[in-house]
Amino acid sequence: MTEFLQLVVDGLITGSIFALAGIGVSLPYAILRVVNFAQGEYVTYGAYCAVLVNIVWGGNIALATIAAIAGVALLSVFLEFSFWRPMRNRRAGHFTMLLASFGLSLVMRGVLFVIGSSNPRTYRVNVFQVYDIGGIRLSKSELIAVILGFVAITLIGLLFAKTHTGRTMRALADDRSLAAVAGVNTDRLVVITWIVTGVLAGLAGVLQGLLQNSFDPNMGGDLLLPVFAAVILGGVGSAYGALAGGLLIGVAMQLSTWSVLWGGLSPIWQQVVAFAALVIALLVRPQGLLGQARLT
Amino acid sequence: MLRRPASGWRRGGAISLLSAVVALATIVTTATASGGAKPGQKPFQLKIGNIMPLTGDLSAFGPSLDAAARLGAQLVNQALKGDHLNSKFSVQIVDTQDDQSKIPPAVEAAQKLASENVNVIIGTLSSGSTIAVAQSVAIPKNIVEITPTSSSPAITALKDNNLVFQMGPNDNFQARELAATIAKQIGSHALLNIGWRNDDYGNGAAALFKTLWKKQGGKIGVTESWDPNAPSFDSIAQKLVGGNPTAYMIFDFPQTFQKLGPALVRTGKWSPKKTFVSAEFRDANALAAIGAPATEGLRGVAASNGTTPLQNAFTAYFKRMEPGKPATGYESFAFDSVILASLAALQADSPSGATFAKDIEAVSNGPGKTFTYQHIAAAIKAIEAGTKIDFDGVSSPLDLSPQGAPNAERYDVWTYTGGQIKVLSTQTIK
Repeated sequence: MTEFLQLVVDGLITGSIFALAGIGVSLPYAILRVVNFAQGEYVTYGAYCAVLVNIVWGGNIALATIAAIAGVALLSVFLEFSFWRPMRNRRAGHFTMLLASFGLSLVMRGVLFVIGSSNPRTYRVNVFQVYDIGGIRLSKSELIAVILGFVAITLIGLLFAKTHTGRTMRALADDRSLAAVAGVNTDRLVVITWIVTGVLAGLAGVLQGLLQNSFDPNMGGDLLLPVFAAVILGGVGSAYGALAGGLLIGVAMQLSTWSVLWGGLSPIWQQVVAFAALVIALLVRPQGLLGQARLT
Repeated sequence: MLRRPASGWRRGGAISLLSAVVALATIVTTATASGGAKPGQKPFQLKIGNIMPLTGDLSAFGPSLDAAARLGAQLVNQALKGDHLNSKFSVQIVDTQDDQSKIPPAVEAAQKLASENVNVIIGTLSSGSTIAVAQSVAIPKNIVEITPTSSSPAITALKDNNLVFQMGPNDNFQARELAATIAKQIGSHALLNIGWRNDDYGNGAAALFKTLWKKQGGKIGVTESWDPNAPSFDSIAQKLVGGNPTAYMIFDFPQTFQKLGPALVRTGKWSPKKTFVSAEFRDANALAAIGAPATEGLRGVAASNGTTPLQNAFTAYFKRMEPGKPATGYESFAFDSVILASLAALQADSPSGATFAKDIEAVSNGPGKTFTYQHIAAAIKAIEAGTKIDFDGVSSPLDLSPQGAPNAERYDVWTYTGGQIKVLSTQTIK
């Protein structure tokens, strides 16, 4: 039982990172029909913003996390004005935008390699301090990751459910033209969407850095497959779906190694499990778990 | 009468002059034609390109090995200058490319070096990259590739037209030394849990070790491999500590172990004091960066450095010449690579990889008078005189096999304690 609970908790930690990054993929798709392949790099930039504060400037990890969130939110807004909006204004089609996001991803990763080098980075936190909570062992980093992850997920849920901005975003996602006719300032909401995306990506970057303990500029790119699996599983364009999909994928990946299940699979198969779960779920429900109720 | 002799002299003089011209032409032609037999007659430059991991998982080694390779070239050029042979032959390291410790950038780096017309590539340091560079660039373009540290037996087995060489210890040696060391320290029938990174190096090294361990009567419990880029290492750690093993054997790089090590500590069931690790872990700085709870008491084997007078002398020389570069223990492999390639090219009297590759094995093996880097000028003179030589490296006597890998290696058995690598013993494996 302890092994099961440990795997579930580990899965929820990993899954919360998939979920945060996944919401950042789902939101721009829902509102702008942009499939952002550069989301992995947004996540990595978050991790490196925190390195700047935590390692280079000697700040604590809380300050580093705030800097990562602010830094990637700013970057995200900058890219909206310098890249995404000009592309939209030139009436770039979906396929063009898809390729453009892929190109942006490569450019961002290349820049990070030049500026930050590919040397592995680590935060100044005690990764060996272990908390034993009813037989479930978590490091300080993991505890920080699980708390921050679930606080962020709760806040994002409240944003969509309880605030005017969140409700307007949902309206925009449902029908952009109708929302514009109804007087919604769509440009302002698009900027807010990118801010939310940046905030979540920045946070996901720090959490993944804490979880892995050692990372390089490829970190976000390595996360992209399970993140997209989470988004598709949850229903493309559904923020809540990405949330559910991320957590499910994370838990499924960890539970696949549970010894009770025919001795458990080797962890080397975890990514395969993520995609097998995705395929099975889509066969049963092609629109994804929450695909029909986009942002609702 | 007067005219006849004059005419005769003229005729005779013309004949003599013609004969002299023919003789001179014959001498010049003979001298030129005999260049292959008498080395050093045609001036040429050996162009070397380095591919090193200046960033990424193996970045702790790249800068120091690059510096060591350049030191080797500098030493050869100094010796040539001393013998006034530098106008006939010189060695130039034209470029160093960073492979970021990954395969695709390594191949791109090799293509860049090929475009710079290098004759020799020194690198890479990891087996997967070395094989990719060999198959994509070095072999098709007749460039000699010498890897200072890549240890996979798959490199030895490559169909490489005799162009690819390993200076470092082959994993066969490492597996044998590891099995012998572990048997000596905890018993030959002990139960081991074995883990490895899922790449060319890890898969190859672990397979060799498992075969040897079982062959000598050892028991194997959990075996587990991992993706070095896995998003989380907790379930991997949980798997690896399963059962009740006497000890653990881990094949990995320290930079990846920085992710796995803390996860192993978190299980509460694992101890570094019960763990043996692969050669790459003999890096005190990298282990210190991981942290004592995951590293204090680790044990392993690695190619010997600094235990023979020659190795001690080289270590002191490297530290004197490159005070800013940390001595990782593998510098001598890069240093030997450059000197061996230079001597082979000089002996073959050609910078062409296809031509001088066969001389690499000959120069490393003899038969002939033995020389080390401390007598490099004498070695060059001997080659100039047409004498066969046997070059002994700092890293090992070299003595390369026809497959281009060392026939023997000296191994240190070490442990990491108090922030230091402590060598417990040294053995030679043949």
